[in-house]
Amino acid sequence: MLVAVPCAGADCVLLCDGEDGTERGRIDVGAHPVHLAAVGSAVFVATMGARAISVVDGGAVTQVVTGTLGPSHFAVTDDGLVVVPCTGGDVLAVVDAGSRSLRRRVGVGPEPHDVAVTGGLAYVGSRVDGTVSVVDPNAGQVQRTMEIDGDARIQGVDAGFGAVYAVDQAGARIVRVDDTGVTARASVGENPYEAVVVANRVLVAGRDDGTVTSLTPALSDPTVHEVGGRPTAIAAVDGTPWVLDRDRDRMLSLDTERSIPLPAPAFAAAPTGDGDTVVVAHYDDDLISLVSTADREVIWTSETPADPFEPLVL
Amino acid sequence: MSDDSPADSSATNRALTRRSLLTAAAGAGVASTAGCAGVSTPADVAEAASISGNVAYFRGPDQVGAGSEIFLDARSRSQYRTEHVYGARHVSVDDLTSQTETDAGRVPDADALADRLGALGVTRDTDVVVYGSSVGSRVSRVVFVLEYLGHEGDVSVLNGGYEAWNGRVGVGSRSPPEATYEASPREELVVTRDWIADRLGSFNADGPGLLDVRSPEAYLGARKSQALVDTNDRHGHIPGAVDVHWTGNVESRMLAEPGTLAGLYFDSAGLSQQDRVAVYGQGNINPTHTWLVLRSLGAADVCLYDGGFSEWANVPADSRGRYPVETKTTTVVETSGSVGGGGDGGFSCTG
Repeated sequence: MLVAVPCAGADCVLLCDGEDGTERGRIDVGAHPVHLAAVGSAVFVATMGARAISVVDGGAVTQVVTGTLGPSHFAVTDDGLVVVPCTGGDVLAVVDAGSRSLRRRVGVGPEPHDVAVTGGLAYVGSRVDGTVSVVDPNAGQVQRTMEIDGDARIQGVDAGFGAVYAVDQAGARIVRVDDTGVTARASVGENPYEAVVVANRVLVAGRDDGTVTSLTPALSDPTVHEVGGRPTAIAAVDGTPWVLDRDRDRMLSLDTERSIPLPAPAFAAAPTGDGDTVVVAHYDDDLISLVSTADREVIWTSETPADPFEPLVL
Repeated sequence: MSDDSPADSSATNRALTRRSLLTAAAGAGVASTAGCAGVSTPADVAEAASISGNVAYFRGPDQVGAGSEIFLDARSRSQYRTEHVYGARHVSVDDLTSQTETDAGRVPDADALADRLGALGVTRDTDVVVYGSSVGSRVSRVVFVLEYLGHEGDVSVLNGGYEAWNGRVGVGSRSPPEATYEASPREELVVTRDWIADRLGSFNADGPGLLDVRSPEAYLGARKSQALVDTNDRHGHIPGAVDVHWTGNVESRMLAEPGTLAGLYFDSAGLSQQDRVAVYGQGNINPTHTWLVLRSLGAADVCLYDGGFSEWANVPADSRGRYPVETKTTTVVETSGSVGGGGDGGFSCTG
């Protein structure tokens, strides 16, 4: 198992041995890498401080110019198109994963940040005008633009249950959309960022009020878990949601309410897919850890370059 | 009504302005007020506006007016009528903004522009001195048009504007003799919307320089900034552009200190003096000022995106992907005032 970690403050991707956390190398990838995606044999790197993404493959790093600042997230269509919202601008870049070239840009709402693909369509949320654009990546056309609210700030956009859940950070709410429009809305905790689909639930952490709101796929029957602290993200490990806390050095099971002590507060995590272990990034402390949720212990912790973001387990 | 021939008493009265009095006194004043602390004579003002060193275009009042130049007055028509450099012809800057549509985007309408200059009696080999109230963008647009049309005569800008002029003055207005301006457009002085679109991702990196001359608030598309230009469908800037607000080029009606400007553009903004630099603004008047300043400082290849952000921001919705707009950057060069536009949630992925 190899763990790749984009280190935003060091403009590199760190590679670690998943067995013991030993550093296996660092790859210079460009300005401010924040997210990774494995596409075929390659790893795509969202370099948010650049007008390009990086692709690491076969020991080489190549750049695919997006022409617009702030590639921030990835989603991949079934036919091999990588869609990339450019948060510093107002476009969704469509990259051909095979040829590693920009196929086109599609104009969407300003400052698009996150993207999800379902049913062959890409859903992109705007941080500025509160819209969600539905884009056909192949045709390069916006099929629909949904007005959520003029004051909305759409951060996370996550697919699940045949729909897409868009999180309005400013309005503390979540909306369910599909290609017909907005189908449901619900309030969540203050300063939410993204939704996580776990089993038959949709979970949203409220960073400012220490809550996690659990909803049905139709966004009904809300249950508010008062977890305290600053819940920043939720990692689904073997079907169980674990709450990461930016202020407190622990991760908390939302099901059992038992916690695991960590060496530092956590920011993001990636399940290894190997049973009950998860790689946790301690963004503010330049550390990553491998944690066993079954044994409720930290297996190893390693230092990283500055600002480790969301890991990718390969 | 002929130039310098007041038609009525009110015109005569208008002629008795402070400027006229000072101008009339200029000959004696140079000598008689020397050594009088706190008194600024027309000669002092003119001298202060003189340009020394290797700076093109900008000339002080004592550096122009020796020969057969035609003075073009780019101020308002009412200002011109009240008083102007003797023999000057009024040029309406709004008449020098004509554009024509091409597949690649808007470009200056050379025929229309040449007609306007011809109507002023300017031919391609005429030596021209352009002045305004100051040395602002109304003046620079005239210079740009002349250069774009392939002007072969000398082109100068009266540094300090009309306030610095201490030579003979005229009042009223008259129609100048018309001429035919045989334009030979210099296409290398302009770039189009598509030229920019084809180079996105390279500006101010491994490609040409790209400079936005608008205010930082407009450049950043800061919240509420749409009130600045409510005709734009989108707000922000062309991807990769560096922002240096053009008003920083001027200080007290004169070109700002050239060394400071050189530091601003070639150091702080990181532009190359040798490589190509494209400048743009909202329209096609203000950016010509930075175009002119960069040329006057010796930049070898400065061109204007004549269509400007007004064209870029308002492309049809289904073309926005080819012509994107950015609202985030790390490169705003402050000239004066504050950057503003903060508090919009920042540019990060950490939330």
